[in-house]
Amino acid sequence: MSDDQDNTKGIESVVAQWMKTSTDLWGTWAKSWMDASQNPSPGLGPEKEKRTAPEESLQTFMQSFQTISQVFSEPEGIAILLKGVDVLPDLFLKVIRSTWDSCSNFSSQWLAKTARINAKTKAYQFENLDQEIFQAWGEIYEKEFQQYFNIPQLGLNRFHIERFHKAQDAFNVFQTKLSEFLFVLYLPIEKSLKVLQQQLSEQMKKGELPDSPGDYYRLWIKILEGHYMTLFQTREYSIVLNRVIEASMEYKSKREEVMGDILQSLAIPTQKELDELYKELYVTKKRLRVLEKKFKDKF
Amino acid sequence: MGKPKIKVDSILAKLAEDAEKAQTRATKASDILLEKLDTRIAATPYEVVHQVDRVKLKHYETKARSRSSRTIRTPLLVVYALINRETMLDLQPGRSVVKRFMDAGIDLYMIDWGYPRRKDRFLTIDDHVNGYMDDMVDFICEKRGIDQINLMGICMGGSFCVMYSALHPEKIKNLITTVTPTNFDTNEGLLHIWMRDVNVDKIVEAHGNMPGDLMNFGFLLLNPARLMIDKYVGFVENMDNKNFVENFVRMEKWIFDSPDVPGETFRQFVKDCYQKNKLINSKLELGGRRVDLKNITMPLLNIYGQFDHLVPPGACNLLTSRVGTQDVEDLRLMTGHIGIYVSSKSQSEFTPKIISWLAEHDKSKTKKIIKKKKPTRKKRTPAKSIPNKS
Repeated sequence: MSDDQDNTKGIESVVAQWMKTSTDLWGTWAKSWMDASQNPSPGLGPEKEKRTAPEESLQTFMQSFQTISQVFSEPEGIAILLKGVDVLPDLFLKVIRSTWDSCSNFSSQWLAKTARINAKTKAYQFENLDQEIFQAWGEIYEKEFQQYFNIPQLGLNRFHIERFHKAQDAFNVFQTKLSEFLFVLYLPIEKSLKVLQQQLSEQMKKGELPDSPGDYYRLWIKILEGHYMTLFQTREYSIVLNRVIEASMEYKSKREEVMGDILQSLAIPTQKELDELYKELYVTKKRLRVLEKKFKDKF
Repeated sequence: MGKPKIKVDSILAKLAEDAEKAQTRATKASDILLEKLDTRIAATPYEVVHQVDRVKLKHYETKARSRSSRTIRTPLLVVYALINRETMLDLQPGRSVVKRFMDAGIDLYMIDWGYPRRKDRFLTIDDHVNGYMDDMVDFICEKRGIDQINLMGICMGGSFCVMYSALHPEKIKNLITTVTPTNFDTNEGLLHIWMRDVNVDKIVEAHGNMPGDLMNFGFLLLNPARLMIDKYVGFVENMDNKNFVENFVRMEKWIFDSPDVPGETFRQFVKDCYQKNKLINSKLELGGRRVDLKNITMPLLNIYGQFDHLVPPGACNLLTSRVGTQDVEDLRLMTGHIGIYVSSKSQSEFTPKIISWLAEHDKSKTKKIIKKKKPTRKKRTPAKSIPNKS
C-alpha cells in the first residue's frame, strides 16, 4: 500500500513537472512570437504595430492553454487525471468489446442477407428464368441494399453526400430496370429462333426447304415481328416499359441535382435556376400578348 | 438410290450465286456511296413571311398563275405535328405534296414549328393553338384581305386544327384532317396502349421538354423487327441502286430530324388526350375555354390510313360524327401513317382528292357564322375506301 502511495506521489511530481515545463514552453513561445510581431522591422509603417485578428486569437488560445495547464498542475488536478489513467484499461476494453460486437453483428447480418439472396436465386430454374430474376434482384436491392444509401449523413457536406448517394441509388435501380427491359426485348428473338427451327424441321421433313438464304431471313423476320406484336400488346410489357422509363427519369433528376451542386460551386447557373428564369419570361410574354390584344381591340 | 428430299445442290448453287451478287453489289455500292448524292429534302423554294418566336410561317409562291385565275382562291394553311418536321410534305422530287398543291394553284402556307429549346418548356397546347396558330391565321387574313382560310392538319397538327376550328370557327372556311388522332380510347394502336400508364410528369420533370430522340426510340420500338432490322437489310440489298439510296437517305434524314416537344404541351397532350380522351368528348379546355366539337360547322374532310400503326383508324374515324356540320367526308386509304404522304400510289389518290374537294368547297361563298343557330344539316357522306398499300 505504501509502495502504491509512493508510486502515486512519484507520478504526481513527474506529471506536475511536465505540465509546468510545457506550459512555460508554450507560454514563452507564444509571448516571443507576439513580441516579434509587435516589434515591426525598421522601414515598415506604423500600421504594422496593430495586432491582426489571427494574432489576437492565438494569444487568447495560448492564455487559455496556460490557465488550464496551471489548473491541472495543481495537486488536486493531477489526482483527478491519475484516477482517469487507472480506469483507462477498462475504458479501452469496453470500446474494443463494443466495436467487436458491432462488427460481429454486421457480418452476421451480411451473412443472413447473402443467404437470402441465394435462397431467392436458387428457387428459379433456367427454364423459368424469364424476367422474374430481374424482379427478384430488384426486390433484393430495395430490401437489402437501398437502405445503405438512405443512412442519414452528418456534418457540413451532408446535403451534397445525400444527393450523391441518391443519384447512385437511382443509377442502380435504373440499371436493374434496364436489364429487365432489355431481357424482355430479347425474348422474342430467342423464341422466334426456336419457332424458325421448328418450321424448318417440318419443311425439311416435307422436302420443302427454301433454296435462297433470303427466304430463311424473310421467314424469320416475319416470325420475329409476330412475336414482338404479341409481346407489345401485353400488360406485362407495358409495366416493364413504364418501370424503365420511370427509373431512367428518376436517375436523370437525381443526377441533375448532383450536377446542380457542382455548377453552384463554380458560379454557373443551374438548370433549376434557368427554369425559374424561363418561367418568368414565359409568364411575362403571355401577359404582354394579352395586353397587346386588348390594346389592338380597343383602338 | 432415290431422289434426296432436300435439294442440297440447288441450295449451294443459290448460295454461291447470292455471294457473287453480293460482291458485285458491294463494288457498285461503294461507287454510289462515294459519289455525290442528291439527298436534299424540302427543296421547293419558299419564303418565310411571318415569324413569332421560333415559329415561322412559310409561303410557297405560285408564280405560274395569277390569283384571280386560281380555282381555289382561299389560301390553305398546313399545320404539321410537333413531332418530326413538316419537310415530310416535300420529301423528294416527284413525291412532293407541296409541289402538287402548287401545281394545282393552291396559295399554300405552312407552319414550321422550329426546334423548341429548354426555354419553351412551359408552352402549353393553348399557346400553340390560341397563340401561334391564331397569329399565323390572322397574318394570312390580314395580308390577303380575307376573313377565312382553309386549314389542313397533319397528325398532332390535325388535332390542333380541330381544336382551333372549334374555338375560332369564324376564321376557317374548310377543314381537312389527315391521320389525325381525336379519339384516344382505342386498343388498335400500341401508342394508345402504352400511353395509358406512362408517368408523363416524371418525364417532363426530368427532361423539361420531351426529347425528340427519346420519342423516336419509342417509335422504333413499335416494330423493332421491321424498323431496326429489316429496313437496313433492305438498304444493304439495294445499295447498288442510286435512286433507292438517295430516297432512303432522304427518309432517314427526315425521320431522325426530331425536335423536342415542349414539356407542358406533351404533358397536356398525354394526360388530356391519351389518358382522359377529352378531345372527342368535347371536354378539353384551352385557355379557360371548352373545345366543343359541335362548333366545327365548316365542311370537313377526314383522311386516314387503314394500316396506320401510330394513329389507327379507330383514333380518327369518330370525328366526323361528333362535329357540328353534316358536310363531312371520311376517306380511308389502304396505307400507313407516312405512306399516305410519300408513297407513289398514295400520291395519286391523296393529293388529288384534297385538291378536288377544296375546289368543290371553295366555290361556296364564305358563310357568316351566326352563333346559337343550328347549322343546316346535310347528309353525311359515308367513308370511302381506296385500295392502296404503302
